[in-house]
Amino acid sequence: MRRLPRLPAPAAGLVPSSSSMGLTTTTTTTTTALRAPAASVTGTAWIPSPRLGNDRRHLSTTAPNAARLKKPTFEFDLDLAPEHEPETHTRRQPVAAPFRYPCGRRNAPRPDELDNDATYRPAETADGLEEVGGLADWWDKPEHWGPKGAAEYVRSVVGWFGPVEKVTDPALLEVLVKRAVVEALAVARSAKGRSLEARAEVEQVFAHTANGAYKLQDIVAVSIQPSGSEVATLEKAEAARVWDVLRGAVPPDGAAGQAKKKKKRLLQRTLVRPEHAQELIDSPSWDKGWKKAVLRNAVAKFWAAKRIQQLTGHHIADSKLIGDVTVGAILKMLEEPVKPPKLAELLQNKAAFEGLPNVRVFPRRVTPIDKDKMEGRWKIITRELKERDLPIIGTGGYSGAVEKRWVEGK
Amino acid sequence: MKRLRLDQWTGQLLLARPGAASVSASAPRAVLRSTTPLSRCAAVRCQSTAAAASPSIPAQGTPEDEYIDGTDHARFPPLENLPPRATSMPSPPPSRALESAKLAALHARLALPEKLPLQTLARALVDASADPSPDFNNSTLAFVGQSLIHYHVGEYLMCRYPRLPMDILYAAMKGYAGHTTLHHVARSWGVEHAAAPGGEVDPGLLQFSMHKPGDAITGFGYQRAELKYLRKYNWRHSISSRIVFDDDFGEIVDPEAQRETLGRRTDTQYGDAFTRSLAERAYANCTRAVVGALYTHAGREPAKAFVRAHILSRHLDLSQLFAFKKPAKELSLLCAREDFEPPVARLLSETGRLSRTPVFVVGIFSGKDKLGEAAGPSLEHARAKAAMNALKSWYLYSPGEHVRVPSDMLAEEAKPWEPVHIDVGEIIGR
Repeated sequence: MRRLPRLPAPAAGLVPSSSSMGLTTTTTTTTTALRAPAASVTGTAWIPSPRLGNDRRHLSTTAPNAARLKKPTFEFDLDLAPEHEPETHTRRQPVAAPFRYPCGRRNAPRPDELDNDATYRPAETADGLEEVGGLADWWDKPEHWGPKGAAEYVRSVVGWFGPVEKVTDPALLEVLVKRAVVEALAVARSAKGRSLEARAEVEQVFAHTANGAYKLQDIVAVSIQPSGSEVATLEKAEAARVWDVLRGAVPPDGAAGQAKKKKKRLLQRTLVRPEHAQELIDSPSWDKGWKKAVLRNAVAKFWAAKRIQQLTGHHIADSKLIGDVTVGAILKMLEEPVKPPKLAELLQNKAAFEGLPNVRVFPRRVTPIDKDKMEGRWKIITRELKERDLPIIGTGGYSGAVEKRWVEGK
Repeated sequence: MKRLRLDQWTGQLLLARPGAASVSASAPRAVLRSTTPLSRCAAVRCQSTAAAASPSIPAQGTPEDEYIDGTDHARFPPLENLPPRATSMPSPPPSRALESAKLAALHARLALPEKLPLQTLARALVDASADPSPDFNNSTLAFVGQSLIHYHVGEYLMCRYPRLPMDILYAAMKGYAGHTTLHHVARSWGVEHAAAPGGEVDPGLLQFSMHKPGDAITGFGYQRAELKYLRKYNWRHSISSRIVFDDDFGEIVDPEAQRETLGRRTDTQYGDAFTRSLAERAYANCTRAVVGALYTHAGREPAKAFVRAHILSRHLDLSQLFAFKKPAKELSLLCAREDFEPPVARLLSETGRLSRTPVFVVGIFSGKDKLGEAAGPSLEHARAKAAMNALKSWYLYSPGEHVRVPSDMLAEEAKPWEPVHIDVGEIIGR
């Protein structure tokens, strides 16, 4: 049988110190299951033979008295920051994260160290003791995620997804989709290369101009079918202009105070209002036939879908973007489908059962208790239950999951 | 012939004073069949209504606490607008009859005319044990219906089987119009019953109580003077006396026994033969009440058609009801009375006489006419059976299925009456 590697020997005093077991005092009784002789399998009683020597694995020992206990010393520093990974592993680039990691360990004083407190009496049960310390709830505390909190951190890394509530106003949707398509076409054309850096740059730009109203009119006024062709494209100059407009929103690094002011201004101009969107659509400069434009470029399509999500909150599945996709089709995807009417509403509207005396339509589900009431049984049931002091509805707190509640400490 | 103005009776019956029926003492008294209201006849005539408790004024001294049904009204708002304290009412108010789908379906299923309102049909479903007030229960309607059913069934049997012996006729009456039969009729209509009566119950359900006694009109006849001795010494009461005194099924009219039966209701347990019989009574009364309601609102002819369609259309094998004691003697007496030649039994064929299972086919002849024939395992057995068959063929003589009955003459433009066959009478007393 394989031998297990030996652990470094703990200090001699590091033994379980329960003195109330009443074991017979034996010296170092050692057992190694791995060294059992083969004959022991057949049924003869296997008596652990006392072994002398340096075998340090103990099953049980006599309870040493307190005087013999030494203070345990910890040889490791349990600092969990990533910089302290052992040398044998390949080093990763340190990630600049705003997190606060747990480091250091604080020890509570042990009973024998409390010489000055005479009122201290060690507890015998766990009732009423409070839990102190531990790492289970470390990441539940928002200050450990950084100065701005977890949401901000996620957004800074991953980018902005979109508003929680989806935009439903059709005029607003049209305007924002146009904006998204224009920006996507500009990005597809102007962003240099398809490298990760270029993509990161685009993400940053989009994150900073996520509010719908920033330079909306400028961007939306661009024509996406300049040559009258079916395919949506931007002229090179237009694309560059739009890209510059967008990039202008990103505050340069280091200008912290100005960034704050700009952010304030951006925030003040948030979120296009539906009336404003309607005005834009009704204005004569709005291209009425723009919905027929076809998006063919894959990069443009997916950037458009991403931008639509950021501006409107609607998510378009990738499967819907295969092949030639017209802008009109995209707008239809964003429309909420008309919910089919419920049977109860249909019956009420059509009045299907009006005038039929042998049909009764109820406004809600007929429960078994309602049936009992109609048959006159319910009053008997309630009377008998009241007589016996039993709950009429529910279990009166006597449900079957009481052991689960005990285990969970409720 | 004088027409019975039952419609006048029903008007007064429906509003009869409760507790009017009283039991008189020893001697049997006859009553004139007239149009006097029930309340005046009651002192003279003995009905087998047994009102155990005075049903007139129910206990109103203790208003019940407000009924809390224990459900969450915010989550499950009540489905119906019930009047307050509906559960303490003995039966649903008549206005609720218009809202019940079950009631309307029953009305349509029975093809009842529109003249019969839903409120009356709802009342026909309330038994006297559920609601003691005769203004709201079906006791009076059931009485009218019972009279009509017995009348039509009786005349049909008498005209169709003129030679039927009286005890067989009584058994046939019970087979067509007894409690069990009418209970089956009501069940076949799809009438369901409520678990417990109350004001919140669906009016389309039959409501009766197994715990409270109620007026149960079970028969109409005379109380015999020797009633105590009949019960105590088990005296025989002849058929002739039954025709005069007893009810339409030939059963003794015994108000005390009825009262005792009703009193047993108060401490019934669920689910035994007695409770089943209570349910049968309630269903039978419901059937009678429907007939009574139909007569009250639609008249005589629709009620007769209803009885023919639902009750007389049922099949009853009368030949199974016979039980002869001395068939050969009876047959010879019959032949003597009718001036036939005395009956002679002749062996027509046989097989296996010495075997374990012989079969003898015996015919009984009167002269050259064969009166009856039967097969049996022994000569005596075969002769007895043949005599029984001969007697049955005599007693079950029928002019035909579509025989005219006396109530046909009540119709307008009825053809002149041709007398039906009236038999001499029974051959031997039973």
